Amino acid sequence: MLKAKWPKIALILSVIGPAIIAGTANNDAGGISTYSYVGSRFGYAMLWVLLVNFITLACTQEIGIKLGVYTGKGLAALIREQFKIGWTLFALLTLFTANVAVTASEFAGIAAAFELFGFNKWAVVPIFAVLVWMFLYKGSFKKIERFFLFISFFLLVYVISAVLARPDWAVVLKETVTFRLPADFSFLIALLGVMGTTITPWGQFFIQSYVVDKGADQGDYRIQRFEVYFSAFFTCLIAAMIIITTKEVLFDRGIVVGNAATAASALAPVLGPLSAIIFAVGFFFASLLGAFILPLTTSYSICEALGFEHGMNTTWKEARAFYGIMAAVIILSAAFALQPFFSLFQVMLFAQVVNGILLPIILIFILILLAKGKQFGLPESSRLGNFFYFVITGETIIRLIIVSALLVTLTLFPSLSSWVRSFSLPF
Amino acid sequence: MLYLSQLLKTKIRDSSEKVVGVLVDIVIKPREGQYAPLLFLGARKKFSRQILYIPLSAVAALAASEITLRLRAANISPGAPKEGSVWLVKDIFDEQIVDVEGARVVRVNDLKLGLVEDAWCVIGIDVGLSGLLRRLRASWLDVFHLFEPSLIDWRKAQRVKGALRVDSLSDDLIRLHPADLANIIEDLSTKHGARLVRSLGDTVAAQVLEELEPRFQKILVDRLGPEKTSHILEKMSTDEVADLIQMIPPKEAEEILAKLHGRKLTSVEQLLRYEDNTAGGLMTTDLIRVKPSWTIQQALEEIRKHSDSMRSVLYIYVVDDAEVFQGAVSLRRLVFADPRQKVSELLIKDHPYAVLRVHYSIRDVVRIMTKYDLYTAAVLDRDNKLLGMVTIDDVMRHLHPQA
Repeated sequence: MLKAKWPKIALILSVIGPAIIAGTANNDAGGISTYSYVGSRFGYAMLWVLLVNFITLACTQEIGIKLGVYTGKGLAALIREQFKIGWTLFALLTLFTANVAVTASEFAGIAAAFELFGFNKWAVVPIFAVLVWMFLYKGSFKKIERFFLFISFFLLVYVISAVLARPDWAVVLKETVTFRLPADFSFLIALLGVMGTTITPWGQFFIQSYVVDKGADQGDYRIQRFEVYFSAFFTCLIAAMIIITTKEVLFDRGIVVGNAATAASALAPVLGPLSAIIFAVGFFFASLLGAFILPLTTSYSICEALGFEHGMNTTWKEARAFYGIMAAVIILSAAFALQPFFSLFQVMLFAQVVNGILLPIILIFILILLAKGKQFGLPESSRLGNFFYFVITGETIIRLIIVSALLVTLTLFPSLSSWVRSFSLPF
Repeated sequence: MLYLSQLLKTKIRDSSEKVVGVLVDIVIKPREGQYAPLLFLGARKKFSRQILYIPLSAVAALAASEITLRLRAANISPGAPKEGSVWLVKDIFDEQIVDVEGARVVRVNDLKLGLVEDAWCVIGIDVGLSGLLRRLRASWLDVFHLFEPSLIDWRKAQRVKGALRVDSLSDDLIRLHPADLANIIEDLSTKHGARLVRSLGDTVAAQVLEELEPRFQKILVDRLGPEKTSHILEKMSTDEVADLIQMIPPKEAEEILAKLHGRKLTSVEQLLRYEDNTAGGLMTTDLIRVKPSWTIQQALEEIRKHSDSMRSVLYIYVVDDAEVFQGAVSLRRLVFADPRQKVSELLIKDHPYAVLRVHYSIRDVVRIMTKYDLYTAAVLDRDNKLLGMVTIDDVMRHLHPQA
């Protein structure tokens, strides 16, 4: 009986593709924390960012699958061949730094989930660091990947709780299209975080490698593109629901999320006493998925670009660099999650900000590749299509750079902030 | 020891010590199985985009940090690279190449140049970490000389980019074992992998396809299209074809099946009926059947007739007129027998349990083949009719799909 039913379920699962995995991993512990913080701290003021994020995410990921489908090469390999070695190392270093930060946030997420039950992070993080590496080494990760996706449906809880919180939907809609950019230090940081958690350097490398691995060709491009749009929408929808929930439940009562426990309490009206447990489980698996994917993507990309043996079917003897780099990512990020200066929650937010700051570098590489595309077999896009690619991605790059620059300026000259605030910003 | 990375950006001076430009690229003429001679040095003047191609005959000295010419700049007649020339930096640096001897795909970090019969040639490809450091001008980082240059002989390398055409494929590559070729294809991008398979003959391509992981088989079939795929499948053993057909989407499968020829088609369709992890799913129908009344001479003739289309022949299978299985005769016994003898005389009453039934599970198959030390085992239906045979490598592949 069970056997007869399996194939159908498997069929549905096989439809779940790279974009959905990437999208789900985007809404990891770091994502949930960032959105919770933003909703509880700024209310609806940042909803507009999600709308822009959706457009940007759909656009950049579409460029990613386009590059993958038409060249049959991963982003790292393509950068190596088109930009030669020096720039390649620069791109890889960027990716490595961003990914160590994100992996640290995943370990912090795992530790935060366990902290809700009173476990100490000094015990939890090292254990999971070792476990993650072992799973990756044994290559058993692929088998459980789909299982994680199921767990991630936990995020739908936020949709329910947002609806049950009875927000004023007219206000929500209006705020979604209202642009706000106060020259406030914490707002700018949070803005970078929200952008950095949704559109990520690793996501670009991941999606391109995934379509290449699947052997997707021109015929599959339309389906893949649809999937990208859908998953970008889903990712941002969940993000919006988290912000609405935390705004209605916490912001209105003046509570700012500062750790996993307060983040979990946003679900209390819906889940009651179970909220901590359900939140912790969801938080844990979302982080664990990221903790697997990130070291893997990092090492895969580096080995692909530098020509080292890589792949899940290799042994330690054949592919020392591949497993070594994974180990390096895991060790560095676990150490960063455990450092005594920042709390677990701060690590999670900080990682997204690092991502946001480093993202423009990778996006610039991608845009140049797109522009050079004719040289390596990319079909010419329609003028309108190209216009959108360049405008949307270009706008994101510029916005990220401006916000990062503002942030640096405000950090170096705190007095400027009050001065700047007396003007309305010109953009 | 001279590497291309040490030459690049070096100032090129003419006989009057005047700087002609800096070296930006080198043009070679690739020849199959030989070291590639350098044709032109590509020099670029400061603030100019134009590249001056200096023929190698005009070069007096070529060394790290020193390139001098025999003549004055004005007396050099610049060349124009012809079609089929290859640029070392543009076309080869950082690209993937196939290391034919090591049967693997690697990336070019640096190129080693040397004199072969008084002519400058590309002689080696550095694919190691030391090459990477040299490219970055950071060799000093390797204080303890931990990284040996990892060199591949230029003649034993096959370019991938724009070169995987039948005429340019090196003989050594084609002569690799299909399993090694399969590994190479798995490492290449799907586009290049498909192109490589296309450029192999159908028979070799069939052997390679059998060795590929199912995931790649599926991708390749998709890339090759039904026409080419059916040609290749004609040369594959029926059980492998059946496995492959089961994997691909029904519409494509039908399209491919429609192009297969009569006998192959019926046997593949027959095999498709059995569950994957039973004796029926494992077996192949490619086997040699003889009648007990035949002479040994006739049986040997039969083997000669069919051996082309079979991967290996260890046993021939004896069936009566109603296709009922009588027993198997090993090739060894056939060879030593008198050609005028009847096949039936060679038949030993086999142990009745040393055969497989079509519904047997993979565990039963393993148990019986191990117990009776069988390399191949006959698969029978309920009425003892011979359906096919399972070979030991089919079992191994099923148990160890990754290898």
